[in-house]
Amino acid sequence: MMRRIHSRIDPRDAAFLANVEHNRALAAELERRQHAVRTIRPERDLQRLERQGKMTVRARLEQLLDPGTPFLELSTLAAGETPYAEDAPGAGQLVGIGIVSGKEVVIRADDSSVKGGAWYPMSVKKIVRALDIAIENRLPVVHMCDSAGGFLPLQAQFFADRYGAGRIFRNQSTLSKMGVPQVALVLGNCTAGGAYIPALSDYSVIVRGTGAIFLGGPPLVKAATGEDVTVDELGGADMHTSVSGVADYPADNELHGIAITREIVAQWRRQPKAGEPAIDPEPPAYDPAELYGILPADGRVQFDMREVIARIVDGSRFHEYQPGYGTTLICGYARIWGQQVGILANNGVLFSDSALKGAHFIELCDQNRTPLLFLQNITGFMVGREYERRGITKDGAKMIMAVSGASVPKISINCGASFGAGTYGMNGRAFDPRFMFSWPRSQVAVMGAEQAAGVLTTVKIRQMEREGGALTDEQIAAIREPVIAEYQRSSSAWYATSELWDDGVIDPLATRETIAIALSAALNTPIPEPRYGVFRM
Amino acid sequence: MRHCIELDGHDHLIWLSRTADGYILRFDGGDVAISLDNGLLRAGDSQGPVHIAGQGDRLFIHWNGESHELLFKDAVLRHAAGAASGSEDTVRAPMPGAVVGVSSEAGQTVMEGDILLVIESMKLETAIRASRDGVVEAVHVTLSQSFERDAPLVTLAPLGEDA
Repeated sequence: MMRRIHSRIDPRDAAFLANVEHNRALAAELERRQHAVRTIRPERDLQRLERQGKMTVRARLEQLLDPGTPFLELSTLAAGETPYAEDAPGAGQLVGIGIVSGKEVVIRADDSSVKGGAWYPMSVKKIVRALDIAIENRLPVVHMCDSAGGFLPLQAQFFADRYGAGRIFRNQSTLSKMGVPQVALVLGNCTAGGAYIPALSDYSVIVRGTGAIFLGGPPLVKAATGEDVTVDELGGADMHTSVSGVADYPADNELHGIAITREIVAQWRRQPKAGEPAIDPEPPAYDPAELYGILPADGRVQFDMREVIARIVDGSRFHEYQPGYGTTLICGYARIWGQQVGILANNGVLFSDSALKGAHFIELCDQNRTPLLFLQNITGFMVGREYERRGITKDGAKMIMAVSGASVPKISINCGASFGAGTYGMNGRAFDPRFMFSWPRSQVAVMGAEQAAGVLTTVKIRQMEREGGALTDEQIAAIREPVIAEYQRSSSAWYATSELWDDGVIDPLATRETIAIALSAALNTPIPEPRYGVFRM
Repeated sequence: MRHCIELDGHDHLIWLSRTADGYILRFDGGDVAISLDNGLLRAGDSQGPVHIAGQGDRLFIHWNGESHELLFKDAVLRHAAGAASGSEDTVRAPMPGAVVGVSSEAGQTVMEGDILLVIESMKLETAIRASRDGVVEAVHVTLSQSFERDAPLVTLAPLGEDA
């Protein structure tokens, strides 16, 4: 049994109370945004669904899941900062990890309440990511299909590229090849590319009357060949399950279809979990709600990441590795819901010693088959002549090499800042964390807004000075402020999650449970033997 | 290494060994066969229903008409040198930077976790806190002074024998 972290927080402190207020407001803002994406729809769209005899995507999800089991929704706020945010709440997709008939599965569902569930650029990105998650974590997939197809005016942004729409079908084929099953429940139209989702699923269920699968719908057929044909004749449930064999099971209505889908999932085998088995969990000794008081309202103020760890891990128990060396990076072992993790958490900028410690600890965890948890709050590596002479870049490279090479599952949480090379060393999105989440207060960018605005405005100011003489402070501010505002917007958590740079923004108080579900999912995949590239010595 | 428990105010070194037909509790007074079955605790010749309640790391145990208070003592903490006297006297700079706030002065009494200084480094503000309760002996830096990594910032007066 390991020792508990000794917290030094004073919950009656004025700064603590101010932080609580600030972070509560951020959590409320997250809640407000999620609520809007999940439930607020124009009345006429809801009436249309009702006329069609369709449930909302949330109602379908509720019927699909085992009652009372946890559901981890992913990328809820995807596309939230795009110009088409209103037309595609959550990118028009509902994605998450949940329990169906006792099995951990990825659920991916089209939301047809707005714009007929058309796929926008971020919809495609979210679907591809959902299937990447299924591949990396060997999670079976339940698709609930109800989409009008790709949104034509923006096709150049989601069709032809490597991670464009074709990747959805490539990923489906890959899953099948790996022996990871998928079932598609067709609850609306699956037109053109969308038709391949049920066709490439190992199992498919289609609902009579509303479900339809075709490469070209009736209007397109009429235009192309002059043939007059109804939706049901062209691609309805009975035709596909008795004539074409495109779908497997006809269902009389949505609930019937969901019941059949649940029965199919119940047939699938369960894989043994990788890694060390979990032990009995223990709640943190310190109240996780105190996180609101710990996270500074001012983003420039540093906080002790041990205080965060103490409110996330079992019993607040932490075995700290190299407690006296490279102290700006905290490394150590803990358990989350009984599952062992190796934690790397920032307590300041990265120096050579902290980077070396991080690289070494990653290798230790890899050898020990211990999943890694990165708690990011990093402005970057230390700069300056002395540090360059001592080779800070090659020590950073060692850390990046270790992060890239580790074969155990890695999970990242952006707790505050994730800037520049610090993002790389701390397992940013490009390093394939199995899951990556952001706290509402977090930022991610090449550098902080102040520095970036300095760089961006200096050039402009010099140019204007050459043309029109010296600028007043007001004129400089007028150039600088919009640059800072735009930079801050595009480095915010809302922007990051809109662009799918993470798998969702989470309330800091939900961190422990989120990590537990992510870890459980990640351990469905066997862990390969450790193997690394060349560490620059 | 045996576990250390504090039972009713006295330390005991114990170890539980598994045997073919149950467990043996090895302790400073010898070995005793022990079993727990459906709330019935048997230790040597005594047996009776046992009730256990926990509060933090403390357990309250009621067995055979007697109440006991038990505390598990962590081995690493127990054997650390200076475990009783706290940490180092001098707080050093975790990174190079400049002082942006001074909230302590020589002679001041501080509690563990109190903010002594606020420093800024790489555009980030970090609070330097007291590592233990004590009295400030010296503050080595002044407002807006810059310093290198590991520079001494604040020294606490050493704890006396009777402190």
